[in-house]
Amino acid sequence: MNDQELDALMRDYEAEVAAYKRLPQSEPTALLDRAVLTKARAAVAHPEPVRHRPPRWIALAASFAGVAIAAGIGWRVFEARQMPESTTAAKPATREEVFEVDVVSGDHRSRDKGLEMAQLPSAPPPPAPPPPPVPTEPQAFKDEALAKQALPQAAAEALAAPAPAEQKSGVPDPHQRADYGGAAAIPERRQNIAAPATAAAPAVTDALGGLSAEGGRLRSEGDEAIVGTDASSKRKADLRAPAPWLAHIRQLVRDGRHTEARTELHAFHLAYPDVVIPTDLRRYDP
Amino acid sequence: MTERSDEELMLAYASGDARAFEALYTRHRGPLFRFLLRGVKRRELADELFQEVWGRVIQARARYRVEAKFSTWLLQIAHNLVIDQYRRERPEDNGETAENAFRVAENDERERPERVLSDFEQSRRLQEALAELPADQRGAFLLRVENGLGIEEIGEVMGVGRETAKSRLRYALEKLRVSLRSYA
Repeated sequence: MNDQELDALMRDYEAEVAAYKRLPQSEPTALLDRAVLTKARAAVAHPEPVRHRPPRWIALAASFAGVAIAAGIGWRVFEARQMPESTTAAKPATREEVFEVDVVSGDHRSRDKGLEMAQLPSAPPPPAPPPPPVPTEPQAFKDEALAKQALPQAAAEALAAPAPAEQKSGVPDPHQRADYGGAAAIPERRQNIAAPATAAAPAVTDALGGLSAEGGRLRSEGDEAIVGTDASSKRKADLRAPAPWLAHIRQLVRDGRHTEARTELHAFHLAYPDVVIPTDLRRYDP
Repeated sequence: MTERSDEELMLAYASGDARAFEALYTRHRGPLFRFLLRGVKRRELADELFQEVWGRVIQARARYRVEAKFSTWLLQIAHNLVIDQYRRERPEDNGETAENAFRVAENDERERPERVLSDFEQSRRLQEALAELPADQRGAFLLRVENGLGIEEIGEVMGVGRETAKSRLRYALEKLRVSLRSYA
């Protein structure tokens, strides 16, 4: 039915439509009008707070994360329940591995001793480690401090403890477990440690400041005869007395080795800060 | 200055313009109220539904989209409320019984001779006839005569196809004619 058909239909019932139009035109009461309008104005004047729903993907992601966490916890619990059986079987192997790591460089005797220790339920108090023949790295630092406090003689002694001596003692790694199985007596181990000690020697000498430069120079020049023995240490200590040292520096100047002279003078100044530098050498004092 | 359309007024109200709502309300208050009053027959109930319709309009202002005429949307709300009310009062009546009764009585009533009633009496009879109409037929009649909707819009408001809407309107008109003549 299009509009024309509708119009035609309504024309057929014109009398009924007219009768309807004559009915009293009822209107809402003024009270009703006021109620509706008041409600409409209030709605605009005091708008309801808009509820910002979080995006759906956040809820989905949170759900997924929750499931993942729950699954992870469940798996951990499952593993923990399975653990007692598997750990009882796996414990000796683990101990064996630890043992192997600890005594990997030891000889048979010490290895057996280490094995015994590893298999003991509770380790006995470790025997006191053999006294190191020469001070360890921390000890070297202590010596350095002492050397700086007690002037010339102590400084000369600090210089007399060069890298080769440290190589002999071996600088223990502070992060490495002490081997109470007699590792100090193991020659292979000593050799193994010698390499890091050699590497550590420059660090020690650096810590000694300018004094280390002298030690390094002596080593680099092949003056190995001076270091390593008590006699040579004493000779070197004598050399490091202020007067011979200054004489040595003067000799360097005379030989035209000005750079070395400056280095020596700097080391001298560090070792003897109270000694006045002679006038002829002051121009080499940095 | 051209008068703003219903849709523009509604959008303005949704943006916070209370005066736009007043203009909209003034335009539609009478036809809407009469539609409700003829539909539910009781004044107090018509008042209640009238407030309910506008309340829903106010609540839905933020969601309003110009997808149909405002009047169609307004009357759709009103029609649904009337139907709900009708079903609450007569849950067993689906409207078909009234239409069947109308078909049987149709020819007999038409053969009656024309009788002229006074205007007052005619109005009273018409109101009674309207009240006796099935809700769907009465709704179609009111949407057309009171609110001026076309067949498509009537179908849209009532949620039926255009043929059903046309049928309901035709039956309503015919029954009113029979009712008026029966008292003539």
